[in-house]
Amino acid sequence: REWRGWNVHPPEYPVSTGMEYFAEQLKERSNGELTAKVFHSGVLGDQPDAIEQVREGALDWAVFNFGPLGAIAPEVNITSLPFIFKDVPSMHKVMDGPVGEEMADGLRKIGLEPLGYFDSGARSFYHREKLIHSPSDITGQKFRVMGNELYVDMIAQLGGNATPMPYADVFQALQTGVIDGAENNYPSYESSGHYEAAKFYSNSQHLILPECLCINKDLFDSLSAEQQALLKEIGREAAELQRDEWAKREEVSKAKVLASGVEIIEIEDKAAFQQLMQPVYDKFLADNPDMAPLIEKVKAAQD
Amino acid sequence: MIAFIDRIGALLARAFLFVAAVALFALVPMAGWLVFGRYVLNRSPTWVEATSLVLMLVVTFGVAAAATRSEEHLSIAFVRESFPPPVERVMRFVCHVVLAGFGAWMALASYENTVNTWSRPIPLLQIPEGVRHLPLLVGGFGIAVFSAIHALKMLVGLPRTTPSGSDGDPAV
Amino acid sequence: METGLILLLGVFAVGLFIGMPVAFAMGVAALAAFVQADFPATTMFRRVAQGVSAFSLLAIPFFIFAGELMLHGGIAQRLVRFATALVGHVRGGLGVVNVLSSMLFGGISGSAVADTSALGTILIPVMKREGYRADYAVNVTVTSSIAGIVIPPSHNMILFAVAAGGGISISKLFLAGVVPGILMCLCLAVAAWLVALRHGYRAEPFPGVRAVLVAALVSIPGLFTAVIIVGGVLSGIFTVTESGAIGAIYALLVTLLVYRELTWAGFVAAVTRAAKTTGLVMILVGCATAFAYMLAFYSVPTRLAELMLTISDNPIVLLLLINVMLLVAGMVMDMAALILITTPIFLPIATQIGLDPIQFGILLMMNLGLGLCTPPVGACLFVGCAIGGVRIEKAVATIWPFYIAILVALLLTTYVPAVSLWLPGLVFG
Ligand code: NA
Ligand code: NA
Repeated sequence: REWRGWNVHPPEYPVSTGMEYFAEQLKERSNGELTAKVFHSGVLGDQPDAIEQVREGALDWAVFNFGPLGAIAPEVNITSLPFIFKDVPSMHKVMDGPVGEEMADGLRKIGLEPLGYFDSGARSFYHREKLIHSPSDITGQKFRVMGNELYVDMIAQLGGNATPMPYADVFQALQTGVIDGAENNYPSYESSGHYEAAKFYSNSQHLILPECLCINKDLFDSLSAEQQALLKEIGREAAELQRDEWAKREEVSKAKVLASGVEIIEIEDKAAFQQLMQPVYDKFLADNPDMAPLIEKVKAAQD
Repeated sequence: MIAFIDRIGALLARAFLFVAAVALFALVPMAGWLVFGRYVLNRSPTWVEATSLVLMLVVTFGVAAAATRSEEHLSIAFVRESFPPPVERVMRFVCHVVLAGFGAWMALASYENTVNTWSRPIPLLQIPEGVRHLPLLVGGFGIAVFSAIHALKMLVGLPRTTPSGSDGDPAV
Repeated sequence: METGLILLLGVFAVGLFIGMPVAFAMGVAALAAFVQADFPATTMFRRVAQGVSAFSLLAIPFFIFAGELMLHGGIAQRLVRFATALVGHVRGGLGVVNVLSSMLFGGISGSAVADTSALGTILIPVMKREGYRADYAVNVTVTSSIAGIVIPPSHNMILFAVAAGGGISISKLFLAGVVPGILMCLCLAVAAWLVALRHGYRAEPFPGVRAVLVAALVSIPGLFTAVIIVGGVLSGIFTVTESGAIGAIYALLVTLLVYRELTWAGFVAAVTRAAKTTGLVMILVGCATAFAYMLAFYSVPTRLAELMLTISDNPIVLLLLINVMLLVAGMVMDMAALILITTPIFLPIATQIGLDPIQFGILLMMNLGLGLCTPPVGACLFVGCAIGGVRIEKAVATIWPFYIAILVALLLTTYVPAVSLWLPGLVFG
């Protein structure tokens, strides 16, 4: 049958372009033996459920963010540790090397075969009223984070009040002041309209989450070696395309928010934030003791 | 015998409704605690959202089952009721049988979902993800049982269950 | 058409036809289509669970519970007394009072059927005793109860925002309903007044300014529930969901401590009915989520939108077409299910012809609200006729002036965007 693909983003998004490229190349280069379709805009469910759907073979392939994926694969959850990657190029370097292969093993354990690591940029803090220079600027402030314990702990360590909240409610909450700030990458900061309500963006880059183009592992294993190699090749190409598109999209979003009067700063003293993260790492290691070597490898691969 | 089973069913339906009502009432102070935590303690409780959603599932599937017994679900009855009584009876019987099958399927699939996700905790909550599928498992069982009882009662010619404790249409 | 799609729509239609509950007709149809398209049943029932587990939907039980508490705790009655004191001396005044009470109570309860049963049980007997015709009393009660859906808060609007994919601000939506809701009530008040003139009803004596003030004073603690809900959200103290809970807590305190009318039995009734209503709506939401999954799988919304755009690309014609289709659908099906089914289909068309999603939401509420007052399926009409002891055909024979009033408000809201969009624009910029 035609492979069913899941995508949370609207059709014009970089991830969507990457997926459409994959589907197009797949049909062409397998001489029409393999075909795939993409259902954009999350019409086939939200991410945590879509992960289950691909695992059980209801859907065949998808692009998943490592944030929600981390809830079921501890290897992948390492990328959700705050400040684990120095910057986006470091993340690419790590994921394209042997560490990426170890993460792939983690994904295989949960029934997913990764074909390419996509980019979702770096997430940084934005606030309604002020720029964030040091951790003390976060003290006492209500920040919305995604529903992952690591993110809640991160804000707590910085002295803030972590407020998990559905993404759709964030705009209004920022506008009315239910929360003081939130965190996201440039394209989401722009497309969600959050920049209209929170005009101070501080480039903390505390979370750099990879995404992966995955296919159901049983389906992958059922293919011939030739077809598997083809999939890996197209997956890599799709990832390259998506990373380029992402970089372009980031520039567009950044230009747009700047033009609307948003203030952006680079954070000078990132170390001040990183030092406070030790308890978050310790707690993660206490829960997942066998992940210690991989964390070290992620760090070492960036030096 | 079937009359006896029906009485057990009535008790079961009351239990479903009771649990649903308690779950609904529990939601209110929890949301209040969320506001209190954010402003007074300056530390938002992170368990409220996930717990509320589990309780919402309890309300929904508790009521879905109980209302199957009392036949209070929103439905379009006028078409069926415009048919002569024998035809109408057949239509009602088919509905009960199909719903019994649907409820059983729901319970089975949700059992599988419960087992598959039991080992993993709900994010920000230290209880198994599988708990979220328990209300569907139990509710599906209830729907199956109550529909089967309706169908059996029709077969042996017992009168229809009168809606219990229904005081007017639900608010839509 | 694909076999799976035929199965989906066919089983649904047959299910409705043989009187299967709407939720399960959707659920069974979805299950059939899931299995046919080679999806595991586990996926299907996770969709059902997922549909129920949206945080924004939590506001629904809170608003319903608050409305039930007001009904059982004496708040609704005081609102009626206040409205009677205020405009009861107008000719045919009890008709106008009825509309005004709906505006006040509906501003809090958010449910047209709750509104009909709460105000109808108080007002319809009073009107009959004062010599008003029963069908008139029922017609006014039933049609003005739509105010509960349009004037915030409204759990049906939350359903719409959720069905629209979560990108719509619920507080903007709430604000957008204020002007159309009041407009609709004004049109209905005029209709009530005109019909009353024709029937030659007399006026109540004016109770005096003092009595009006007393009635106002007494109803203030109850009215304050609305202030807490709307004000709390606009000032940024609560989210919409939280405001519902705080509103319910407040209503509980008022009925327990201020009015002291809430008995234990009343409390149990309020909780149980709120749970029932919530559960019956939410099981619809859950099954509709699975149903919508298969609609999306077969690209039905896109295909239908393309079809409609081949009929005409004139926005005025398309809007009229959408209005008519919603009205007809509303005649035979109930509101919550229709919001969930029609939103993903019509919203893309509406935005494509340049309609603001918020304005579309308000139109959806008004159209489907009118459907609650029309035969053959109309929950408000049924409840109103039951309370008034009037046969449905008899009520419907004289209801047309009120339909016209709502249609006037509906057309104004359709073709003058400012009616709905002015207030949210003013507040949120
Ligand atoms: Na309302
Ligand atoms: Na109707």
